[in-house]
Amino acid sequence: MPDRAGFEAFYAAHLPRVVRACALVLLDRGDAEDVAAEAFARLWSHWGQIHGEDHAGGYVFKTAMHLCSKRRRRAAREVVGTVPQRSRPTDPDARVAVVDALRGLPLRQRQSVVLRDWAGFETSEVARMLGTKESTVRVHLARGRAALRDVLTVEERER
Amino acid sequence: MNDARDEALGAVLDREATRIESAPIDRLPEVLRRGSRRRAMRFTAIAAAVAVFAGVVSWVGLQNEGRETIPANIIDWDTFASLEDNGWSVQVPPPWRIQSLPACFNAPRRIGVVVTNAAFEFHGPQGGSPHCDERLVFAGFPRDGVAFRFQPWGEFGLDFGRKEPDTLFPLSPGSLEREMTGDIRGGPSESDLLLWVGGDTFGIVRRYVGPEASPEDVATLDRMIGSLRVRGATRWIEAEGGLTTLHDETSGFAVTYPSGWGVADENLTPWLSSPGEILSLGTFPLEVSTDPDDGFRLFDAPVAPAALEDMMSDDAFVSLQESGGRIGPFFDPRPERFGPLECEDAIYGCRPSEDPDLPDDARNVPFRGWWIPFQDSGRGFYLFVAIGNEATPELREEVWAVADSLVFDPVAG
Repeated sequence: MPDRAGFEAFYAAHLPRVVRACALVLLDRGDAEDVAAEAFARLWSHWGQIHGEDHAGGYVFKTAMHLCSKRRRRAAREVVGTVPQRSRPTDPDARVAVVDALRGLPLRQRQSVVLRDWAGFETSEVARMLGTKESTVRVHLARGRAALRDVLTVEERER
Repeated sequence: MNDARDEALGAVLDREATRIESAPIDRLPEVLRRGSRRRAMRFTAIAAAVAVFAGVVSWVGLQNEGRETIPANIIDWDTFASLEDNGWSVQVPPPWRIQSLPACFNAPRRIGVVVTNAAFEFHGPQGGSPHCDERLVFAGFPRDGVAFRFQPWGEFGLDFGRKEPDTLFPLSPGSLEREMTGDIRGGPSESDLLLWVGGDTFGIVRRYVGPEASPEDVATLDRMIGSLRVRGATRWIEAEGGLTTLHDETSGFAVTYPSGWGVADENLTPWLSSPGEILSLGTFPLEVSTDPDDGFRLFDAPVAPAALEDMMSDDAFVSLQESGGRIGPFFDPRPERFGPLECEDAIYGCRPSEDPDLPDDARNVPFRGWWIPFQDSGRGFYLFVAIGNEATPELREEVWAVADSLVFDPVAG
């Protein structure tokens, strides 16, 4: 049998980070928890073949990002005609501004910024997780960061 | 372009992230249950087969001591079993130890075998010779040992659920799925594959590699696995000069593709009957769609939605469907060379992108695609070709070369 105790320890230690990454990408706490649970379930189904925390961490983040993409596309299909609004932050609450700004980013840009700037993965790792080239990730990063600069300004002003 | 981490932005996101309460871990039982179910699905068929059998025990040890070297040419290896008498055969490196395993009760001529590079005698959990497909005891197996086990069987009368396409031969290590052997501390890793031939399960191949096995022994083991032949196999591949040719006798075609491409070993659109998918291959892992809404929908006729959802801008994908009905004028004769259709945005089936009838998915995808009906050898086909927007010129050429390589058997009768 695979090492259940080892998996449970890994799950407890890494679940919050995966949920938060998914929440920043999906902007929905419930969806984020569902996606994280499925990603960890898939990790458990391969536990024993995946060696080391780094490998497991990469696997679960990659799976989670893949599942985020799927969920986002399906949600877009279910709500025909709704287009993410690129609104400038108007609410004085910086939290709303951050969420609004993130919502205005295309999914790939959001994933790239979250994985690189928040989670701290290297660009090459982000590329592997998103199944794309490093150069493409760099483009997503540049565009995503540019779009988020206004929010950063708001945050700094408020401090 | 700067890709250094933007610490300031990271701090902003971190403040947002920390507002998300630490997720409860009370979903752990659900996670374990779902994960275990996923793992079990891979091995349910195998476990059911093991439970059914209670065969006669007999094993024959044929030691080949004194024959130290392994001939470079596999043709010079020993042949164990025969296609004619046993329904299968394998080439065995002469110095390795062969242990014949009893046939299962429902296939008395199909004996099994376990071959190893170690001076080790396998037995079952009860201490005697292993029954048909019974678990082997690895206690004392050398850490540098490797082993191959093949156990064929006959008809069970059991429902294994969804049928799989016939197994592609020759087998490669990558086609075997890794199994957990946590109960063998320090023992070999195990991977296995359930073989499908003629629409039924034929037997199971197992590959064991000790933690200190030499690369040479592992390579020899994999050559042996690749030499396994079974009677009635309908799908096999040949490799030459960096190109691989897949022959499929069931669907009556052959296709040649370069390295970097992979053929789906399952029907990606099992819910599609007419036309029916007979081939899909691409430069990325190809996922099966459980239903027509499981992924992208690009056309009126759905094409591998879940696989297309995973396609990136530097990928390529080819899928072939065969019409189940009469070949009407809709099917043009096969062109001398396949290529992109003469329209601006073929991903939309040559319709303008503002066409309100287009699925939303078709408006923003990282690739362009072409849907090409044609007839060949008295049969009607739909060829779907998708090329990523950032595909290299070489890959673009490869895609159409793959399509041009298709060869079909004439329609029966």
